[in-house]
Parts: sequence; C-alpha cells; structure tokens
Amino acid sequence: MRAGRRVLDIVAVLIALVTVFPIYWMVLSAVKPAGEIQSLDQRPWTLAPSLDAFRRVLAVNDFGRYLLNSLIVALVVVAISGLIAFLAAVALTRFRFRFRTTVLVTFLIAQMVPIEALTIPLFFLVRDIGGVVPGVGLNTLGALMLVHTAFTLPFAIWMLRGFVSAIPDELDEAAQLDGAGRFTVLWRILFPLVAPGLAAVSVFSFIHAWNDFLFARTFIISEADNQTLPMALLVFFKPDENDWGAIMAASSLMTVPVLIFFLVVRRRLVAGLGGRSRIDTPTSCGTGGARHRRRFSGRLAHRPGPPGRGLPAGPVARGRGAAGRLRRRAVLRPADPGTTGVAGTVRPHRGRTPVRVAGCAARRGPALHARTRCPAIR
Amino acid sequence: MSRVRTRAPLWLLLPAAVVLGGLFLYPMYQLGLLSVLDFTQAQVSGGQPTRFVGAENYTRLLTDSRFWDVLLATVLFAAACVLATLAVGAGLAVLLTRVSRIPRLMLSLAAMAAWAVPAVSGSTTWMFLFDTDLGFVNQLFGIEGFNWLYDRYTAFGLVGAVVVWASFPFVMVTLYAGIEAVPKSVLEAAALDGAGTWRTFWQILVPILRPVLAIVVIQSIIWDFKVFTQIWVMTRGGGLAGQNLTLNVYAYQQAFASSEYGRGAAIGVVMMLILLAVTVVYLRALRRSGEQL
Amino acid sequence: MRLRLAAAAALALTITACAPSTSAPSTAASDGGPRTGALKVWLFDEPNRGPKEAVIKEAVTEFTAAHPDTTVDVQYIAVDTRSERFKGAFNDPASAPDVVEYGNTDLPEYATAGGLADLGAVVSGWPEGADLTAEARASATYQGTLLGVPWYLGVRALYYRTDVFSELGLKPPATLAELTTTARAIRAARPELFGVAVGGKYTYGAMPFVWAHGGDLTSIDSAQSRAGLKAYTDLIAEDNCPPQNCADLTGGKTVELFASGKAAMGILGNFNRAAVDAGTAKGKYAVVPLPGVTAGSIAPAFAGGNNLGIMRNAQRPALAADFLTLLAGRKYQAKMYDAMGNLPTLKPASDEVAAKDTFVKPFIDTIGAGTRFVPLDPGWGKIDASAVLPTMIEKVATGKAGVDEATTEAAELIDEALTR
Repeated sequence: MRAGRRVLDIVAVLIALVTVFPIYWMVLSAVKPAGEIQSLDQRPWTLAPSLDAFRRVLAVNDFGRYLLNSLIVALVVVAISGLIAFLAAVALTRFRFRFRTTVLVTFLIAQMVPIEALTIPLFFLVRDIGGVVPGVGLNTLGALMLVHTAFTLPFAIWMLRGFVSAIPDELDEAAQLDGAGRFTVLWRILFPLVAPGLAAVSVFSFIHAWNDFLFARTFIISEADNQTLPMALLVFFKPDENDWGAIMAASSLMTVPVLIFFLVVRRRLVAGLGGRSRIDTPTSCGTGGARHRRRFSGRLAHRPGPPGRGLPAGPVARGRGAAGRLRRRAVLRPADPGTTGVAGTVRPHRGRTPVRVAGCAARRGPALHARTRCPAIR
Repeated sequence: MSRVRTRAPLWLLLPAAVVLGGLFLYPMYQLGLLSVLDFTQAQVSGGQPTRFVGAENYTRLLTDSRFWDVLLATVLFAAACVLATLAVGAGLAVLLTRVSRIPRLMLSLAAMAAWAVPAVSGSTTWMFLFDTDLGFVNQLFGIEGFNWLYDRYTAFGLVGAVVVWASFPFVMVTLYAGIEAVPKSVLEAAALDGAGTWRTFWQILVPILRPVLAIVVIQSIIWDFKVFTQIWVMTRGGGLAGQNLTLNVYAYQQAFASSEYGRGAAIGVVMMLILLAVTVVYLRALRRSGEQL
Repeated sequence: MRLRLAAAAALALTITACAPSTSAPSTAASDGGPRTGALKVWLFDEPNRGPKEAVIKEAVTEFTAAHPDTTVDVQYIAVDTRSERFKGAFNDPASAPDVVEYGNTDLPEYATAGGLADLGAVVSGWPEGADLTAEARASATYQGTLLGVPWYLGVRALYYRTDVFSELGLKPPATLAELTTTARAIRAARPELFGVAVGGKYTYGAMPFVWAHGGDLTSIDSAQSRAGLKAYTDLIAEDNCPPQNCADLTGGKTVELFASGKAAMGILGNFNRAAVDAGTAKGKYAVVPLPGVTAGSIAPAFAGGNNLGIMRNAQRPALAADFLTLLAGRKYQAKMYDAMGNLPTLKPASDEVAAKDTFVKPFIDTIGAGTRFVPLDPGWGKIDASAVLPTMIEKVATGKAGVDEATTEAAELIDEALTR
C-alpha cells in the first residue's frame, strides 16, 4: 500500500510537471536572449535571462491603462454576473413555475450560438443603447461590461443552480421560522453558503471577459483610451514575424493576471465545485425503504459529532458570510447515512439561540417531490 | 422559501431576464432574421438595400459538400476531445484522492495554471514547443524537420492535446471536489464489500456524481464543438488545404471574415440546432436515469 | 418537455417581418467641415513602429504649425483588427476618423460599404497629384472613383545568397525555368539548404509565376495559369523545398527561412530588408527582379501597398485633405522610405530614393516592368478570407489533387465570389 502510494505520488508529480511545462516554456522563452530562442539547440533553461522582450512589449503605449481597463471590465463582469446569476439560480431552484425548464434550456441554447454571428445585431444594439444611456454606448468600457455580463450569465446560472440546490431547503425554512424575512434568507443564509460556488463561477466569468478580443475590437472603435490589454498585445501575436520572444512575453503578461485571480479564489474554488454535488445515499428516513436524497453544501470536512446528542460523525458544512447583525455559521451535521437525513444548526443572530435544522427530502420517481420532516431527528 | 407558486421568482429572475432578453434573445431573433436575408457589409452600412432570399443561405450551405466534410470532422474531433477530456479529468481526479498532500497540491496548482492560460497564449506556446525546427519537442526527440501539422491526423492530435490540456482542469477539479464530498463511510462500505477501484468508480462515484457529470459533459460538448482559437492559431486558419477545418473556423472563413452576415447567421443557426439536438438527447438520457434538470 | 423545448426554440428563433438595424447611408459634409479642432487619423500599427511614429510626429508638427488651433490625434490600428475597426467606423459615424491608412486589397470592400470619400477633386487640386502614375491611380480607383492616394508600394523580388552562389559557381537565374534548375542544383550540392523558399500559403509568391506564364486569377483554370501554378508547385518538392517543411509556409515564414540562412533564395519584398539584415544572411545576399519566362523579362509582381484615404463620415474633410496631401507628398514619402523601407508611389520621390540607395533598384525595375493586382472586386475579400488560393496550392503541393483538378475547383469558387 505504501509503495503503491509512492508510485502514485511520483505519477502525480510527473503529470503536474508535464502540465505546467508549456507555461514554464512560455515564461522561459520570454526571458531568453534573442539568440537562444532562434536556436536549433533549445535548452530548457537559460544562463543569460534578459528582459528585452518584455521591454519591447511594455513599450506599447499606455500599457498600464490597458491593463487597468481589462481588469476593471473583468472584475465588474465577475461581480454583476455573479450577483444576477445568484438571484436567478435561487429562483430556478427554490421555486417551481411554468416554463422553468424552458428558461433553463434557453440558457443552454444561448451558449450554443457562435458569438461572431451575434456581433452585428449587438453592434447596433449597443450603439442605440449608447444614445439613451451614455455610459454604455460604443467606445465605452460599459459596453464591454454589459455584453460580457450577458455572455457569462447563462453559464453562471447553470453552474450556480447546482450550488443553490445543494443547500437544504430546511435551512431556509428554519430561518424563516426564526423570523427571518425573504430578503434576509437570501442574503444572510443562502448567499454566504453559495459563496464558494460564486468563486467557481467567477473564474469562468473572469477568463471570459479577460480573453475577449471580439467585442473589444467590435465596440471600441475610436477611443484609444478604452482599449483592452489583449487588443494592445495582439500586434505581437504574429508567429509569422518570428519574434517569438515578444510573443511569449505578451502571452505571459496576458496570463499573469488570470493566474493571480486563480490563486486568490483557489481554495474557494475547490470547496465550491465540491459543494455542488448532491449525494444519493439510501437512508431509512421517512417511509421505510424509499430512496432519499440528502443534500449538503459548503466546505466539507469530517468532524466528530457532539457526544450524547445522538448525532454521529458526518461531514460539516460551513458557510462564511458577511459581518453584521446576522453573522452566522451554518453547521450541518448530516447523520449517519444509514439512519437519518440532514441535521444542522443555524446560528443567525449573535447571542441568540441557535436554530436546529432537521429534515430530509424524499423523492419517489422523477416527477414527484414529496418533502417530509424526518422523524428520526428531533 | 419553499417550492410554492409565488411571484418571488419573477423579481429574482428579473435582472437576468432584462440582461439576457435584451442582449441575447433580441440578437438571437436578429440572427434568425439575418439568416434569410442577403446581408453583407454593404447592406449594414446602408450602401445597398437588404434583400430577402428565403432559404437560399441554408440551401447553399446544405448543398455544399465541404460543409458536410467539415461537419463530420467537427463532430468526430469534438467527440474525441470530450471523451479525452473526461477520461483525463476523471482519471486525475481519482488520482488526486489517492496521493499525498504535496503531490496533490502540485498537480492541482499545475492544472489551475493550465486552466488560467488564455487560449491564444496557450495555443501559441504549444505551437512554438512543436515547431518544426525551433521546437523543443522535436529537438528533444531528435526529429527536427518533422512537421506536426503536415498530416491531418497528427495536426488534429496536436490541437486536440491543447484542447484537452486547457479543459481537463475544470473536469478534474470539479470531479475531485465531488469525490471528496462523498462520505468516507460509503467508500469504506464499498471497500468492505470487496469492490475494487474500478468498480467503486463506476458503481459508486459515477452515480453519485451524475449531476456534476451532467454539467461537465454538456459544457464540454458545447465548448469543444465550438473550438476556434486553437485551430485558428495552430493550424493557421484550418490547416493544409483546409484539412483541419472545424465548423466554427469554417463559418468564420466563409462568412464572417468577409462580412457575409446572412450566410454566417445561417451557419450559426445550423450549428445551434446540431448542438441542441445532441444536448437534448443527452438530457433525455439523463432523465431516463432519474436525473432531472 | 418536448413542448417546452419547442417553445424555447421558438422563442430563440422567432422571425417576423421586422428588419435588422442598419446605418443610414451618409453624405459627405459639403462645406469641408470645421477648419479647427482635433483631426483623427488612423494608421497601421507595426511591431517596430518607432521610426514610423517619428516621421508621423514630424508631419504632425509641420501640419499644426501651418493650421492654427488644430491638433492631430493619431491612432495606430492593429492590422489584424482593421476589418472590425473600419466596419465599426462605417456603421457608427460618430466613431469615424478623418484620415485613414488602408491596404489596397481592402479597397473594394470598403468602397462597396460606401465608407470612403471621393478624392478626385482633392488630388486634381494637389500639385503633386500629377506625379502619381496611372497604375498607382488605378490601384486606388474603384468603379471610376478615386478613393485613395497610394502612399507606398511593396513589391517582391528574388533575394539570393551571394556566398552560396559564388561557392557553387552559380549565376542569378534569368528565367523561371532557370530558377528551378538553380534551386535544385543548390539543394543537391548543399542538402541542408532549401534552393528557393516557397510556401503553400504564400499566394503573392505564387502569383508572379501564374502571371509570367500569361495566366491570371480570374482564369486560374486556363492552360497558362495551370502552367504557372505547376512551375510554382514543382518547387515544393524534395529536390528543393520538401512538402513537409514548405507546404504550409506563409510568406513571413519564407522570410524567416532566408534570413536564418536555411534557404539560398527567397521571393521577398523590399519591406523585408530589415528582417533579413537581422538574421545570419546579413551582408551575404543580393537582390534581382524575379525573372519571367523568357530571358531578360521580369515576372509581373503583385503591387501591394497602402493608400491614404478620407472617411466619408469624416467630420473635417477639408483639414483631412490637407493632412493627407502633406503625408502623401514627396517629402514624407521619402522620409517613410528611410524609416520603414516603404517604396514611394510618386515618381520624383521614387527617383530620389533610387538615386540614394542601390538596394531599391531591382524593386523599381520590377515596378517599371509592370505590376499586377488582384481583381478590384468586393468578392476578392471573400476569396482571400476563405483561403481559396492557398488551398489550391496546398492541394497540389501535398498531392491531394492534381493541378487540373485543384485549379478547376478554385476557378469555380473564384467565379462564384466575383459574380455575386
């Protein structure tokens, strides 16, 4: 077993090295002196690193300005599309209404259209919007934010839907029983619990907005100050011109901000992506023998349940939220899969009694959604 | 908040509806409209009147033998990429659960780095690595002068590798996180029952992770079917004599690059319908197995 | 489920009788617009545009000194994104610049889009306008209207390595047939070298072969065109430039091959001089015109180049005309040659340059022998974008199709694009 594990360790390290090698090569080629890049004897290191290539690329007018523009657009898109997607995801998971499936499939369809096909209608749309709302017309960063928000939304909603539905309804119900309004439930209970999911979604939105060439070159026509970074670097992306040093330097510069963003959200990303999996385990909750679904979310860790409470060990989900009156830690302690459904604690108010949440969702067949209070936990 | 009929979903959906209705549905409606018009730059800037051509854009496309060749290549290439991405992603996700902390950290950081690299940068870097003469790979293996892009299949293979390299991290991280969320007791029970790694994966993890897998599969299909940058950059716009064209690149070449929006819209509609058909088949299969949207 | 899907699809694809948005056709400002304020100028960006920028700055200083209360706002446009930027400027008058630099092959597309202003009156009222050759004027004229002033030309000629030639006792080829035999002789004697660097995606390298044999783009399936194409594709072979290495080369890559010393000859432009001088071939090469079919003749070269034009949506057409004629005049054409190696289009300027620098002679000779151009038709953009010619060359070069088959196929596509 130990030896086997060591072999797997080595395999994992090797794969990691292979995966990261192109990136290493990109950065390496950017700092190699010109002679070594053109060389017929490429070596995976350099003894004379030089920043010439970076200097050439950074000589682009207003590099800092373009970088800032790109960052602003990407971050605003991340924030707005995350927020809108969160609201929509709640609507789509917490409520059943007509055309729910239609709406969902439409979001999928929206991702299937080749974007180029939409540029001309969007061009005129943005031009006309600009006539009414000055900040979002042609040649503005607002136009880019608007369009990228629209293009990242369908995917964001699809992703977030899973995160929201992974949070037990019982949490909301318990909070409402505790006197929390709908708005409070949304912001103080659901939002913090979905935060890791939002981190995962934000990665996609950020990359999408950051990498865009198409809309930047379609909408930013005459306002050089509102150009984005990829557009400014595009002039170097000419494998024909053979300036590999500059190409690699430009590539590295484009990659760095995304990498930083990844590092910032990394922990939440893994936690977030994990939280979206719903887990089917046979339980004896409710009607005997029926298959029941337990859902929990957040960052999962094993923690022994409090002795004497009848709650055995199980994963603990933690949601961290904003500061304020309702600072809370939602602690879910799903009981042993063999016996019970979901149990948890919500502490919505500092100094107030924690709310105990218990329940499980039973499902019989694809269409019927019966919810029963779980009799096993009180 | 319970699943009852109230007006609440309306105001929650309102912001999304406004943004998507305005910036998606309206342009998509225009897309359908353009596809039955003769609409080029001359019409856009008002130089020539717009002309209704009915199904002409579609019949021209569907009777074009190259379109069918490209479609077939796209479907096969996308299918191969989706399968490879899922296999690599799932394999590494399982690997991640079985290695020590440091290798796990290294692998997940490496994967996220690959994920973060913009498609243009990644494609260009790989192109340089596999360059005929200056490429490190050719020099390493002593095959200087070997042109990876000369043969159709090595070219598709190389581009496919870049696509997988860029997209496996999403699958890997998602599935790894999903597996981690599975209660240890379930896996232990399986082990006690004598299930091996393979059986545990297929009979326990896959069913549990089905909702996650559904999203991963659907998204991979959509992304890989629409692959553009890697092909465009690496094969310089479709490869030798167009041997590496995929539908999106073909659409760009045939229509958008020369501002034939009517024709491009028709290709867009056809692409969308194909993707929709694939996705619906998949969603139905999911439903049959007990999942629902 | 089915009904909902249908509803979703219907929602996405509803088609009613409503027309898509377009721009209203605009008319040029008849009074010449304001004479003061900021003049907006778009020029092409280049990876090493420093020298170009310096010349432009000088011109701007001269211009603003002569025109009080004006400023010139110069933007450098990436060549790759020019199409979107120009279309954007055509579609949104408010974003339109006044003076633009554009590639002469883009002219028909911009002209049919109605984006460029008629410069007939401007050029006839400009003293130096008379120095424009008829050929240069023709390359900027679309359907009888002059829509630009040719700013500079770029033509290609045959670069060869003097050291290799003298070592092997070779002379620069005098005919295209000799070019082939010379190339093969070099490859046979020095197997590590390519005789002449040619590429499947190098359309402007291949066209002189077709033109020299009496063929043309509009009749690519004629016997003459086929002979020319065969002469070119025969060079993409093991005995000169193996298909593995050369079938997918672009023009830029052949420059790289020659500059790095991997090819003994190359069909390169006057604008490639700096790239060659940056490589190992520096100081070891000379240039002659690309020969034609018969000894002493010169193969017609493609007259690539850029024009300066005024946007139809320009807000200051009168000021724009002044700036354009300044920049396109003899003085700044000569300065642009010094800065970027761009061949002047005005006869006095090109004479001045030729007298100063013997390097230009083969290029001037090539122009003097007559240049050719791509069809002045908006369909050309389509042919270019859908890679009809590279596909044709590559099919032959890789043995996927014979010359006859490939040219027949290409001819159909070209006809279709041009007659639309």
